[in-house]
Amino acid sequence: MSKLINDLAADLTPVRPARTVRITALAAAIGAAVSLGVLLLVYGVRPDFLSALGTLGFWAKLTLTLGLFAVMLPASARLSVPGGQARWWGMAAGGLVLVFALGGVIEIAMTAPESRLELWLGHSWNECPFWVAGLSLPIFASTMLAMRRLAPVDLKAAGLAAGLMSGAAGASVYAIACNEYSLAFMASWYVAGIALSGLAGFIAGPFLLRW
Amino acid sequence: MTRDETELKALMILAQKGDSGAYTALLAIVQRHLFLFFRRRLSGDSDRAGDLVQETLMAIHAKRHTFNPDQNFTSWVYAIARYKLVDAYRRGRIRAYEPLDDEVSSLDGNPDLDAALARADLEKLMQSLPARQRSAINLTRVEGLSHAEAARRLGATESTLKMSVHRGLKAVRRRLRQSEGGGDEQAD
Repeated sequence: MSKLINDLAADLTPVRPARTVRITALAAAIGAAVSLGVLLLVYGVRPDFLSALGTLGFWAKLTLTLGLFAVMLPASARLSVPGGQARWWGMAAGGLVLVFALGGVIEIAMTAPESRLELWLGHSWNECPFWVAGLSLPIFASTMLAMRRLAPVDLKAAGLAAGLMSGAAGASVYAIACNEYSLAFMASWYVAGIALSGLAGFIAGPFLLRW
Repeated sequence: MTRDETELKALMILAQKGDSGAYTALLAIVQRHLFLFFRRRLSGDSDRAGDLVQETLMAIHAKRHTFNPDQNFTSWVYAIARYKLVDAYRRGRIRAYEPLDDEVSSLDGNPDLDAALARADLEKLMQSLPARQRSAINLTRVEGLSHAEAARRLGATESTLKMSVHRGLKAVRRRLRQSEGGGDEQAD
């Protein structure tokens, strides 16, 4: 056994402690660039993109998706190394979703009963979650590659965090093309897409991240 | 934190900078802690524990860049060790491991105690315990029997045995704490 220690010591080269947040962010950015390319090619930008920049709905949507990305990024980074915990970041993500869900409920309550369903479902409820989850795939893939170079020890949690982070990034990309505006829509269908991506990560994590 | 953690972390930071002397010293200490850690969870199977120690040392080597000096070194090492244990179980190379029940694991999650136990003059401390607790600890922790086996050997129920182990370890810990105040010598 001390032979092993001698061998390892002989093999020692200086290393720089991994800057996990930077690595994860870089991986996500590369994946997001691919997603953006796919979106522009396949879907295009919403026709009223410039005027949308002046609407509250557009910015509320980005607040939700980028907010989730901003809390899931450090969570993923922490879960990619031994001894890292991310409970608080997970709770922050839950809190943000709760705020939007609450906003959605208030919004529905303030809407005339006959328009409520339309407010909630918009015109794209049945495709939005799949766009979000689909656009998260390139981001998830590059994040997995980055995580494998680190050392996650809780593979389900790390996969889940990476899935949610990729989902949030994919949702941010999709927001460019989507012209839904209600909080109820975002809190349901965007969140469903992000959750789908998180679930995929939770399941795939133990297979993809094993080292 | 404790002296051990501070020392080990300092060695690790030197090792990351390429100091092979510090690295050798660090791995030698870590190796001993790991062996106790694994053997206890593998019902005293020293061979398998030895294998897992090797694997964990290699993992520490391969992943040494993932230690961040802001974090706790002890929990970094034990997180890798636990990963290797679960992984061996998943791959079917070990049939079962004892996660150790909550009461005991509150002591058990404290790697400093492992170190202290390894260092201290155990014999003397053990003699001061009631006979029942002493043999319970001897069978489970020194000889490495499972709780069930040890209980059978002592003609006690499993829960009584666990309680004896727990109380005994608690007493040992208390006495160690008292003596820690005096001297924490015997450097590694």
